[in-house]
Amino acid sequence: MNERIIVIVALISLVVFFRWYIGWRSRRATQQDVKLTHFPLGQAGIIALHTDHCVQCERLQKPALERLQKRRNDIAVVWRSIQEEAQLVKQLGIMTVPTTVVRNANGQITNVNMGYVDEDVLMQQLAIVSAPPHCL
Amino acid sequence: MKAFRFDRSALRFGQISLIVVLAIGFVLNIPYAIYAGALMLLSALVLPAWAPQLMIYRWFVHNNWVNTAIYDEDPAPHRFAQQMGFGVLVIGTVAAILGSAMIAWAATLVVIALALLNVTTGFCAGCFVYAQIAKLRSA
Repeated sequence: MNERIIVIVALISLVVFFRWYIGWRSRRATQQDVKLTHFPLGQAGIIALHTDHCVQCERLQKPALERLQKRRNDIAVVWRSIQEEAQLVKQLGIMTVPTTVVRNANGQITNVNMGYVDEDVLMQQLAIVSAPPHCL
Repeated sequence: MKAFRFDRSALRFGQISLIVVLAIGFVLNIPYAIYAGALMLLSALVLPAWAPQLMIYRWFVHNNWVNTAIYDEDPAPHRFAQQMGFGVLVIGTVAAILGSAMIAWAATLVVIALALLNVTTGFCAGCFVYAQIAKLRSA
């Protein structure tokens, strides 16, 4: 029984480590000197990366981005596949889909979310980089 | 677009219940936990109103011990993940019945690990695999 408890503890530790690792990879991605030109300077936006058979991308992330755009129509959203953005994926070390890359109006990456995030999280991230139009 | 009302709290409660049942079964070496886990997932997929973990959840909500978290979210990806988990536990169940404890518990540990990842990070194992395949194809 002791060995089995050790296995469970090891499993939990692995999961905790993986969670930290994804966070570290995301933070490291924001530190890369990559300028995104998917939309004009002066506009904040999101590049959302997906693959063809990714159910979470189509059924969760895409609708969340659509709901976000209804709330923030000043934010540009670009929906791209991993194959279309192979260079960006390599530069940022993106590991999974859906991944959303938040860019500020100066073209700098401020957040890289590896995995699904809902519109509330994206709104919080966008609030830091770009005030909604009615606040200006 | 069709509107969905999805309770994330119910999903999380179900996942945690499954993890607890399987983990206790593994630690105490009780193969019935694998059968129970498979039944839990099957009932959640086929008859959610009668799934034991969801009945307990509704009782908790009724007593205000747990709050619901209703979102505008499509449940399809979560159901897909549950189907995958059920498939793996079926393998574990068959292995346990046929006497192969190693395969049975290995399958159980896979389900525990992926459920834990999903509960704590929202990580989608299938999406991760698709991304790696797409990256390899691009390279």
